[in-house]
Amino acid sequence: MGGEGIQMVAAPPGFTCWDGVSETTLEAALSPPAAGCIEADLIGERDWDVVFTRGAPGYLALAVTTQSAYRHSIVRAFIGAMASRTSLCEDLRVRIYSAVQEALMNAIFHGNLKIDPHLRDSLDGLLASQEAIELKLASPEVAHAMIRLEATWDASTVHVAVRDSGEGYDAGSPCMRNGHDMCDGASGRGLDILEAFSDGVQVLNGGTTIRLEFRR
Amino acid sequence: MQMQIDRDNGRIAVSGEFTFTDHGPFKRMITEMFETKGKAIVIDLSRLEFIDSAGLGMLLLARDEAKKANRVLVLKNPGGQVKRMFGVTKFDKLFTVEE
Repeated sequence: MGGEGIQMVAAPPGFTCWDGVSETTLEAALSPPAAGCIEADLIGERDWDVVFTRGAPGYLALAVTTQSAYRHSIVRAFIGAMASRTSLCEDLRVRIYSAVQEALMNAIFHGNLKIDPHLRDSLDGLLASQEAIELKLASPEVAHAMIRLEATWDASTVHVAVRDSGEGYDAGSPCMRNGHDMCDGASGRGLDILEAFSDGVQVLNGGTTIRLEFRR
Repeated sequence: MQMQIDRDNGRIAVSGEFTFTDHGPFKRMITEMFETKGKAIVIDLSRLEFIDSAGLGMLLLARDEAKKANRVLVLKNPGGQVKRMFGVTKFDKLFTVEE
C-alpha cells in the first residue's frame, strides 16, 4: 500500500497510517483495501488487536487524535470510505453522516475535552469555549487522546460505534440532552438527532461509546 | 463553510458544510450581518449541503445577536439534509424560514 498521507510506520496488518495533515490524506489512507486507519501520532506500544475487534467481512475502523477530530471533517472522509466498500443510498448516507457527526461531537467535546455544553449557549460563551478548547489542545495528553470509529455492515444493517477516551457519564445525565426537548437553547439537541437519524442508539462502556444502528 | 455577502440587499449566502469546525466563518458571519442594510438579514441556505447541531446552535446565536440590534434573521431555502435537520429539531419553529 502506498500513496499520499500513508507513512511507513508500524500499523497492524491491513491497517494504514494517516499523517494527520488533511482530509485529502485521510481519504487516501482510508482507500480500499485498508481494513482501517490509525493516525500516526497514535502508533506506539498499543495492542491494536485489543483496540479494534475485527472479524466482520464488512468492516472499517479509524483511530484519530482529539486534535485531528476537532480540526478535520473526519466523518465525511470515513463515510466516503464506507461508501467505496458497500452501497449506501443517499438517504442512508445522510442519516449515517448526520448521526455519526453528532456522536463524534459528543466524543470530542464532552468525552475527551470535557467542555461544558452550555458554554455554547451564548456568543460570548462560544468564544470562551473556543479559547478553552485551544488551551486544552495545547496539552499533548489531551490533544493525543484517542477517538475511534468502527463500522460494520451486512446486507440489512450498518452499525457505527464512536468511542472516546474520557471518563464516561451516566446515560441519564444531560450530557447530550438538556432536559427539555428541542428547546430554544443553542445546545442540547445531540441525542434527539441521534435518535431521529438512526434506527437504534446504544450508550455503552460507561458512556464512552455510542453505537448506532442503521437499517438499509 | 463558505460565504458570499451582499451588503446592499442584506443577504448572506452560505455554502458547503456548517459544522462545529466553523467558528471562524461564523464570527465573520456575525460581523458581516451588521454591515448589511435593512431590517431583515437573509441567510440564503440554498447551497448549504450539511449542518450539524453546532451549526444549528450558531444560527440561533446569530438570530439572538440580530434581535439585540432590533433586526430579524430570516433563513431562506434550506434543502436536502439541512431541511431535514430543521424538521428533526423543530428548528423551523424557532426561526422565520422562507422556502
